[in-house]
Amino acid sequence: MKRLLFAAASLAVCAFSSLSPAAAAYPDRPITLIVPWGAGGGTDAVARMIASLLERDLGQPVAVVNRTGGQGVVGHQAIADATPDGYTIGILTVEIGMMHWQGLTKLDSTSYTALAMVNEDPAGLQVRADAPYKTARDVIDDVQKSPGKYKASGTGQGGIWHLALAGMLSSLKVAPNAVPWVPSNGAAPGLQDLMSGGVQIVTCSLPEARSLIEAGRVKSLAIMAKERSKLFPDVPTLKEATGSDWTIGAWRGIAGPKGLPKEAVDKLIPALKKAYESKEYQDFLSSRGFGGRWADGAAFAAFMAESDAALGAVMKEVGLAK
Amino acid sequence: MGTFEAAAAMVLRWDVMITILAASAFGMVVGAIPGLTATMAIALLVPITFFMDPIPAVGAMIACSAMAIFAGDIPSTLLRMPGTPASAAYTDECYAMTRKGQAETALGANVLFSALGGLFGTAVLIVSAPLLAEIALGFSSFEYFWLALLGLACAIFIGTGSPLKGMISLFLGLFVASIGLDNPGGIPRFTFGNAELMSGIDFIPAMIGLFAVSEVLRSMATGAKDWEVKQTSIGNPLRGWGKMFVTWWPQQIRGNITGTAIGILPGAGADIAAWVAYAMSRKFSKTPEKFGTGHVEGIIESTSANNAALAGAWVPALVFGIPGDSITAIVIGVLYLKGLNPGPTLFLNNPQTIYAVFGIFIIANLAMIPLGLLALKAGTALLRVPRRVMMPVILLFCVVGAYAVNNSLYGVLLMLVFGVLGFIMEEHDVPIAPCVLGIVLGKMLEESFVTSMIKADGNLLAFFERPIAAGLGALTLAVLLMPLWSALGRRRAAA
Amino acid sequence: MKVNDLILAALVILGAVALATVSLTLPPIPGQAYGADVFPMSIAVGLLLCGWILAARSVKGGAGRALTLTWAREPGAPTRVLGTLVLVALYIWLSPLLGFVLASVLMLMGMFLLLRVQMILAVPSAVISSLALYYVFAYGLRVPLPRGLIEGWI
Repeated sequence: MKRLLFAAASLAVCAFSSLSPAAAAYPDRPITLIVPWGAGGGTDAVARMIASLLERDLGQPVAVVNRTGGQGVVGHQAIADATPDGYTIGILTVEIGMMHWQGLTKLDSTSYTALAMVNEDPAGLQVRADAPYKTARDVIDDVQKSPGKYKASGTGQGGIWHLALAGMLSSLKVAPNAVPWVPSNGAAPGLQDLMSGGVQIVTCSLPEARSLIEAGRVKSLAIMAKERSKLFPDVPTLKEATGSDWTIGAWRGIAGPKGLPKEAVDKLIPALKKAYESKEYQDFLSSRGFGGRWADGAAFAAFMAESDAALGAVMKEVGLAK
Repeated sequence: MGTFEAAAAMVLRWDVMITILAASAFGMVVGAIPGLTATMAIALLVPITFFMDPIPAVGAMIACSAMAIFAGDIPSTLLRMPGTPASAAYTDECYAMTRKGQAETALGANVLFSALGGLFGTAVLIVSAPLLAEIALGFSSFEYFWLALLGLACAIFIGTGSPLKGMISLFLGLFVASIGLDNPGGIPRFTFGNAELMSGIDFIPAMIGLFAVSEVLRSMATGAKDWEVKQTSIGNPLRGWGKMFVTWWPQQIRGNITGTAIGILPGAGADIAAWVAYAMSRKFSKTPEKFGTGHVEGIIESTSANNAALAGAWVPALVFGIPGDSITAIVIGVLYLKGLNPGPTLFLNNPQTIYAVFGIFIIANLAMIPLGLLALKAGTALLRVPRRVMMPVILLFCVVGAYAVNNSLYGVLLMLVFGVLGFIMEEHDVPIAPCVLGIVLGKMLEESFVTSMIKADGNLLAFFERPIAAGLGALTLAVLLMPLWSALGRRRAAA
Repeated sequence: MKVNDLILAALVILGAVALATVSLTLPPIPGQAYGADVFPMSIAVGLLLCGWILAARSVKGGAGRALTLTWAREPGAPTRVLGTLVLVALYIWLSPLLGFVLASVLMLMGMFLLLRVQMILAVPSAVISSLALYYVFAYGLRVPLPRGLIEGWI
């Protein structure tokens, strides 16, 4: 009798579990990809590209969802708070290593299951094409001569490009507040302000400044990376131009909430790798001028931890951390 | 002529035409659903354009966005539920026409003048894009500050009833705009440590709440009885249009110019254009007392303006790759993907492509007329559904729309709070339009002020030091002080 | 149900004072004269002025009754309005648990009940509009509406 009951019970369990979604192979329903920034930005473009490639590979719709606001806090929070079942993932950006230093959130890179880093764009040093500077050194010298006179822009107060500027100045033994920061709603309004004469320096990435550089209105004097960019190989690195070792860039990577099931991770990382290596994604990167950078799972997590510590150190040094 | 022929050959193909039609229909659906904006429609198109040729890809985006901005007027007219923020300025006016049984006339005006506004904006784009982009690029935060203040001055002209209560409503809207982390200081304000509040009050759920939910609550109070007025059919739309066109041509032209001018500026778009146009229309009207009671004059001017602004936004986008609004921000990305890198060189190296883009603009705006008429007929049929059945379904649409803005229930909660707020405000004769305007302009006003002061090291006189800023400043002060002056004059005359 | 202008003015002034108090605690932007406190402070001053004038006017012109019932006088109106608010709140609470379709059918049925719509009309209207919205948004427009008990099967 007991055996019969057991058999019946196990049959019932089988029947039930075959109905429940967990038993079917992952993924068996649509996946949501959360983007902490608005439609139209670079992060949104990368996310939509990756989503459409993932969709083709996984055979399930991958819906891109913009959760904007709070300078990225809200979207990053939504990714971390999602049910860790593999059906909600998101795109992390460099800000995850900055926000907690500013006291805006408790989240940091350890709040996530790292999946894959897909892109990195270093900061550049841009001035108007008709500005009297030939090299980055000239700009620094001028700033040193009259601190406070020149203003810079490119993102919000305490954002990544603000840090790029402050860190660059600090590495060259110039007071970080010698160039006051004019907060803007992203790189495009900052560049617009550069054109209209509101600010003199913009430290956004090269692809963001690209159309104005190509139009001959803006020139880039240095790129804050170890190597020159593929997009503008004539622009020297900051080290070549000034001797400073300072490098910084905005990166983007796919991650899920903490505790993602192994089954999902094992499926997602190869799918992301395939997407990253696809011709479509590589064409997308080169047509937009974005930099590709791949790191999966543990390597991505290690990169984030390293970036977090480095950003924190500089933010404390230049007075942007709490 | 070779260029034009090449451009025509690129556009006049069946696959391009079908794409434009399909994208228009899609834009119409998305634009007509409150909470889903034209920007969202375009973002949803992006993955599809990955697999399309450049011209159909760009064509789909142009047609979709133009149609979505027009389609926002449909629920706004029929249900007092602005489909996109660009319709908010004249929602009450359109709805008042519906209550008088003139829904078809109001929508007919929206169709025709949206299309004409779009065509005007396109003409400007064709004739003088490079020159105007140059001017637009000269606008800095000093100029935007005056522009935002000028926009706020509109509140004086749009509100019906007590101007004092209008001011209270405006300040309330400005306060709502100040909530959250997105301010120049990057400091969380009035968030009480809540992560959702850090993102601030999203404009769209607030707008749905203030307009649509408050209306639903009011009908619930009265038991959602059916209206006694019958909707009159417009009959042959062409005849009505001819008359409107002849009567209101100065309003239309002014709306077109306002819209294009505001649209070209990268910091302002279709929604601000509609507000300014509506306020201007009332200010210069011979019969300002008719505004707010269902009068087509203001509708014509502002519906022309928002569609004209849409084309205007392409000017800095095509010439300098600087987006004029969030729609063109996405389009710029797609242009790069398709190898049509925006910039002055696009005009030199690829003139046939540019002309093809212009051609699509014209076709998309012309296609709006027949498609819009179809939507008009289908839409007004909604009004025949018993209101006891309609009102709950409208509320469900509001709930889903508010959710879809950011895919979170926080949006639904905001919508509910603002619905109650709007209901209470209107009970106390506090107009809601100025509040909505305050939410639209608050961020721009603060940002432009604070960033200007950082640039000028705190010197307030800097707002008058640049020529355009000085001109705009003088204009703004004149507009703000004029009512005061005339009030003083009246008092003196009375004494 | 509305209060008179004098009470309204008092509320506006109270709000303005609260706003000003919180604004005072906001930190400045380092090294800058105008920071995060300027804008809310200006709003507070503006509201204070408006409230003051409104109060002065209603004292001068006679404020009227403290409380007028207006819409609330109609039979059943308070129940219908409050009921609607409760139903939306219920939707916010229940939709993550039950999923979109059940929660929205519940909300619609509640409102139809408040408006005394006959069952023969109410049930199909609620079910059809919920399902239609679900399909359009979740599949057509890719809005991730909450999934719950039955969404996996439809």
